[in-house]
Parts: sequence; C-alpha cells; structure tokens
Amino acid sequence: MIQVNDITFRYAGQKDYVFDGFSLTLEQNNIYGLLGKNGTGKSTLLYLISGLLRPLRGNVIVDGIDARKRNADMLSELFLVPEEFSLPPISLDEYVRLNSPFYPHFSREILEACLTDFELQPSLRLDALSMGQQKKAFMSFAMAAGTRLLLMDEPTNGLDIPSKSQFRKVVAEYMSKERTLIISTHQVHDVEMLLDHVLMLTPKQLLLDKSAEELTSRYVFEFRTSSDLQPSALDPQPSALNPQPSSLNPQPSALDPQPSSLSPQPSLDVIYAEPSLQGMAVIAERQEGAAETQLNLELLFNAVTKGLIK
Amino acid sequence: MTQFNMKRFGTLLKCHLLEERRNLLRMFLGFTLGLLFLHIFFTEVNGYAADEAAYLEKVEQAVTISLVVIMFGMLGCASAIFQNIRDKRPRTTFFMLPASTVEKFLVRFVWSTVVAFVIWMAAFVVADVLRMLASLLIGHEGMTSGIAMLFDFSDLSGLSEGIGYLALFVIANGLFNHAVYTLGGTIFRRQPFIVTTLLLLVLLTLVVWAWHSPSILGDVQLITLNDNIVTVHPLYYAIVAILLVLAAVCYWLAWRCFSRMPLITNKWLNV
Repeated sequence: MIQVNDITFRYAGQKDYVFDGFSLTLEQNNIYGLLGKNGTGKSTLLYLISGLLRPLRGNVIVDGIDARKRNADMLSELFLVPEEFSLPPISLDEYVRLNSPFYPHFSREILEACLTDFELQPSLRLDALSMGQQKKAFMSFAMAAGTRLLLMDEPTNGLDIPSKSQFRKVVAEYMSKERTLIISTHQVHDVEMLLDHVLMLTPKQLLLDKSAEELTSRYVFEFRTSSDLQPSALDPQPSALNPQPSSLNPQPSALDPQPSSLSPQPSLDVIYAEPSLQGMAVIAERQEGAAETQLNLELLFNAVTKGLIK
Repeated sequence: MTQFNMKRFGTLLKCHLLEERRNLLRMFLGFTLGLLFLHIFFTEVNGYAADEAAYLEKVEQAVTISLVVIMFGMLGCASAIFQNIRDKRPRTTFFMLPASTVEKFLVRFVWSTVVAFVIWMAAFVVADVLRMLASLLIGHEGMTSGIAMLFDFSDLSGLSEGIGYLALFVIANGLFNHAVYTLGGTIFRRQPFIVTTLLLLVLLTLVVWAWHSPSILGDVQLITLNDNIVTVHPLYYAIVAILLVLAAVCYWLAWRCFSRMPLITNKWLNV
C-alpha cells in the first residue's frame, strides 16, 4: 500500500508548489490511471513515490517504508518505467543477466513471453534499438522484474500502433494479483481498458479518485446525435431514421436502426457532452437496468476538469 | 532494511563496471595517449640526449611529470565521482537500482579512486613500454624503464626521518584534497573540477595569508632539519590531524549529499 501523507513539494528554484498538503492512499492489486493536464505533477508524484524526489513536508510511505530512504528492499519491490530512460550499450541478454539478480521475483519466462509479444530478440544490442524498441525491451524487463509496485510514466509514448495493443496485452496478461500498477499518461485511449481506478490531478490537489467500477456503474459513456441533445429530442424513442450510436457500436448505420439497451437516454440525464466525429460524445447518468459502457477517459477528464463530475 | 550487504554490493559493482566498460576503455586510452605524449615530449622532443646518462635524466623528468599528472588526474577522477548521473535519465536508472545509497556511493567511490588508480597505473605502464619501444626504434641503447623508477620513488626506507614527517604531511594533504574534490564532484553539477579548484585556490590564498600574517601565525616552520636532527613544531600534528578530520568530514558530507540528492536538481548544484 502507498500512503502519500500531507506532502508539500516544489522544485528547486521554483516559486510555485507542485503539491501543497496533498494526500492520497493507493491500495494493492489495482491498476491506477494517473491523469492530469501538463504540469499538474503526475510525473512528480511518481518520482515522489519512488523516492527520487523528497517532499519538503509530509512523507510517502511505500509498504511501510519511507520512500525518501531509497531503501534497497523497497526498491527491489518497485520498478519505474520513466518517460525517458537510458540503457547501457550492451546486449539485452547481458542487461538481463546483470540486472535481474537485484529483483528476487524476476521471471525469465515472463521476460521471454513479453519479448515474444513485442517481437524482440534477447540478443539485440540495446544501443542499436530505436526509442520505441528500447521502451518495449525496458517494459518487458519491468514486467518480468515481478515487483509489487510498477510505475509507468507515459508508457505508450513512442510506441507504434501495433505496439500499443501489444502493450495492453502484455499488461493484462502479466499483471498478477499481488501487483499494483500506476500508469501516468496523456494517451488515455491506450490504457482506458486496463484501468481499475482513475486518479485525476489538478495543480496541487486530487480532482478525482474513483474506481472504474464506480464510474461505469454511475455513468454511461456513449455517442448521441446532436439532435438528441436538443429539447425536441427529449422523446425517449429514437427513430429508425435517427439511429443512436452507443459506445459499443459507435458507427451509426441505417442497417441497424434498432435501439438496444445500450441506447442513450433522453438528454435530461446528460452530464457532459462534446462534439466528436461519431456524433456527440456524452456522459450521462446511468439508468437502472441499463448496460454498463466502456469508460471514456478523455470525456471523463473533460467533465471532471469542468467540475461536472466530482 | 540492511544498509550494506556485501553480496549486493558485489553484484552492483560488477554490474556497474561491466555496463561502464566502454567508458573505462575510453579513459584508459585517453590516459595512455596523454602520458605517452608526455614521455615522448620529455625524452625525444625537449632537447636531444647525447648519451645514455642524459637520456636517463630525461626519463626521470618524464616520470616525475607523469606522477604530477596522475596526482591531478586522480583529483579529476574524484571530482567525476557522479559523472554517470549528471543527466536525468542515467540518474533515474542509477537511483532506482535496488541497492542502498551506501552501496551506490561506495561503488562510485571505488570507481573514482581504486578503478581510476588502476587505470592510471595501467596507462603509465603501457605509455612507458611504448616509449621504450620508440626509444629502441630511434636508436637509444639499453632499455631505461620508467616503471622501475616509479618503484624507486616510492621506496622511502633509505631516507631521513624528516622525509617521513614530510611524507605523512603530503599523504594527509593528498587525502584532504581527494576528499574535497569528491565533495565537489557530489555537490557541483557542472564543471565540478574547475569549480572545486577555484574554491580551493581561494581557501589556499586565505591559509597562506594567515600563515604569513604575524598577528595570526607568523612564519612557523613545521619541520626543521639541523645536522640530521629533526624538530617538529607542535602545530604540525595539529595541522595533520585537522587535515585528516576535514577529509573525513568531506567524505561524510559527500555521502550525505548523495543520499539526499534529488532526481531533478538546481542547474549548478545537486540539491
């Protein structure tokens, strides 16, 4: 468990505080999504949890150990994949041979499986790899390290399109129940299917701290036509000429005019809507009996930052 | 919660040295070329040695200058103790390695002292051998080895008691300087060698001023040698003790700064 207790932090030479009296508790066995605008302190929070930065006041406790101490036992159960990292000019095989002894739960099988998923060879030299390939190699090592806590800062930055889905597959497959993963990202669509819990940061404070389960049980995330959002569209029966896309079926089609249980409800329930290519992207109160929809993090983020969801 | 674990330290040292081997090779080649240049300059370029005795003298000069260069080189390596974590990316990697801060500090300390010393010595040997080969090609008779001279220099057994006191003073002073450069290398993020040297020069100026100022110390002779009788001023012991204590404090401060060093620091200082 991670406890961030009333921390105050600012960078050397800066006037503004990144955190001021900030507290947070993160439970084990969850995949947390850490979202926020640029400069709200997402990476800083990951660095504070890792002990790479020291709060001016308060403390960060990771599994009962003060992160500031950079204790070896704590570090052997914590792996950080930063947005930018450097790897030594050696082969991946040698890197694994030299670094794996530091991690007591390191699994060679998981490493090989991840490398296979990412289409990488262990014999490759790390300095000969592209940035994206280096990231995949490093993430494979991170998954194989078997640490109880895994922190990833913008993990999908620099990955090509197939690699992003490979990343999701790898995380979904090798995140065991004992592990906690915190993903800080702007690429919300790359990770929204993975998350158990959503954290949203605004300068100095936590704007949202809710489980994905709670969010999807309270809200529906779907697409509606703009006419549905007009007063005349309050009629709850969508017509065949005006098919309603749902988040599971975002392409409106005249061939599929039947409203389903996933069809949107009248616009009175709409909490937030914004135009999108598929129509109006909407967050609405979930009605009793309506099916759950997939979390739309981008929409949720916009609604939360506008203060419409707390 | 162990702060120091020998097995983990060994693993970290092995990992660090193997990952840094390209840099070590680069250092070795650089030092060798530098020392070879000095040897060739003093033995072949700086005047012609008409006979073997003159040549021997030139080799002695080259060895002496090499020792001075190695001494400053060791200080340079001490100030480069955290050269590997000057930027954010390698710093993240190094800090996140599952080893204690003591182990990480010691690994870099071993790198900047023991490993650096071994590299300097290996570079000296290779440069000397290359110089001897060059001298044979040029036509000097006999093989005049600078390595043998180095051993002669370090043999103090036949020297007077006064030299022993002087050697102790030099060692204490050397240790103090090494500790100051280690601290400088830990605190200063940019150009630690130059910044530390400038600060030491300021400190030295103050000490010299105090030394010659009649109201403070006056011209105290620490060691006096008259007819093979050595007289040691009580201040000598105080200064040696102060230097050793200051050296210990600087090493401790360097470790303390390292253990609290953040990932993202001030532009000039590692704080």
